[in-house]
Amino acid sequence: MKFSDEVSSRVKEPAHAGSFPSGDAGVVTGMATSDDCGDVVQLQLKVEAGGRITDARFKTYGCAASIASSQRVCELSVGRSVDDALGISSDSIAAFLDLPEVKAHGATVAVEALRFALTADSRL
Amino acid sequence: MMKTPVYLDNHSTTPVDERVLAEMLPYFSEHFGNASSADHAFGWKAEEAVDRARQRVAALIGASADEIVFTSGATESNNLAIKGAVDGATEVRIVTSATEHPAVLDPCEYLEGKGAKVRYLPVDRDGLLDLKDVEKSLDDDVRLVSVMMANNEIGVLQPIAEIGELCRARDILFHTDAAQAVGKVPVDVQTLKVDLLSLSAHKMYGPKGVGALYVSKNARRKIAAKTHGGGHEGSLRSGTVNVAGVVGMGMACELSGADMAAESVRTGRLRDRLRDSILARLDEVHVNGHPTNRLPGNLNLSFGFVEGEALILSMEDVAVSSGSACTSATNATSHVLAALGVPEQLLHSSIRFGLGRFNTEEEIDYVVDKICASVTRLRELSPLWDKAQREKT
Repeated sequence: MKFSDEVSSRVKEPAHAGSFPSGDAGVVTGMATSDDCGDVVQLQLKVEAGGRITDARFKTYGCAASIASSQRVCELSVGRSVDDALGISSDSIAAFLDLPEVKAHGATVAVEALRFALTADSRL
Repeated sequence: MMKTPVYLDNHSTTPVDERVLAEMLPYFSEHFGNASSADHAFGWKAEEAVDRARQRVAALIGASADEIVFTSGATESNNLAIKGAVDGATEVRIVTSATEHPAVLDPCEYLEGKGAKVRYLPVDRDGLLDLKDVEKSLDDDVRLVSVMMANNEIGVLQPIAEIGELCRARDILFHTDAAQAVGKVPVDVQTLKVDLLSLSAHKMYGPKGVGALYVSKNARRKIAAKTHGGGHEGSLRSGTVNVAGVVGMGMACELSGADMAAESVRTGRLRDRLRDSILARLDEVHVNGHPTNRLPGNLNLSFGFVEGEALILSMEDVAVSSGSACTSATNATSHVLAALGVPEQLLHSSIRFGLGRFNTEEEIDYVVDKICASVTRLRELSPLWDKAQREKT
């Protein structure tokens, strides 16, 4: 499948890929699985005392859409307040990355992982 | 100097060999006649070229020229063979396999919708049919058996001669889709005891849009045309013959026949080098399909903990094919790998490598490096890989 440059560049060089060392202060983790295709996203956010997100990491098993969406969610989260980050929508991610409709699940699972991280509700 | 991207998708299509192109070119301009124009030299020249091409195609598969019907490709050939054999009958059965190409499965499904019965035989873990299953399925109502010679995803070669023997003994028509096999491995319609055989030019360094159906003299009376309008190709496939195309197909057959033994050894060595190098450098890689009973240029691997499409996108400059599409709309995993019993997670992790005439050792080594680097990087990105590693220790 042909993807947009926004997807390709994020799959080839995902700046937020990885995880924080265990024990890092202020790190919250969310994991979500796509019911559609089994893609799994683990999202970690570093939240400072005031509730601002200062850094983000992801690990994703899945197709290019899920990897690029995870990276995009990290980009959008850093610098925002928790409340603000909860407003990030999968539709806006899918539109920015120009995901075909059959690939929209990538954005959905990435945003779900973000919400699980921020609401301390995690499932795999 | 190696050119990129490296093309390893030769089961999808092959580049036209320059020698094939050179043979075709005059038939677009100088010799543009219609092979059916019986009244002048333009037509005679075209007819002569079509006759020569027909002989070359026939020679490659051990047929006689009058048993070759030119078509637009293997899909049309399969449709003509299957629909032509059943032709409106409802109290008949077709026997086929679960791993056929859609160009066989879809016509079968179409005929099921019209009232025919179809039996889809299972395959074993290596992708091979069990001859006992085939024999047991040959009830009195079976009009046609259709089993592919070489699988387009896993390259596995079915026991066509043995199935041919079973069908011949019961006077049942036997069709094989040999689009992936012809030109790569020896094909002889007499030895194989097939009545109908589909082939395609663009899978063997010929042009797209041209193929053929071998129709044995015995089968000729049992097959009805599906296209009408002029009586071309012995009234089995009406329509002006694609002269330049069939000239190219004839030359492609000639070249494939002449070089087959050496090319098969060379391609097989490159495929083994690709497989062995990847398996030596990466864990959790699984070979799909029989280890040896397969096309020399085929390799199908599942890379555990990596999604196939992501792997393809992350490896720039390597053209291969993913066995699945990760979509929320359809179950787009490979029906072939599913029929082999490949676990769900690995269905999403499969890559088909199709090596061909023009690949080099340098290209294979480049692809190995690209694959290994990309798989390693994507695994580092995968929470499932992390989990599996933790569970190991």
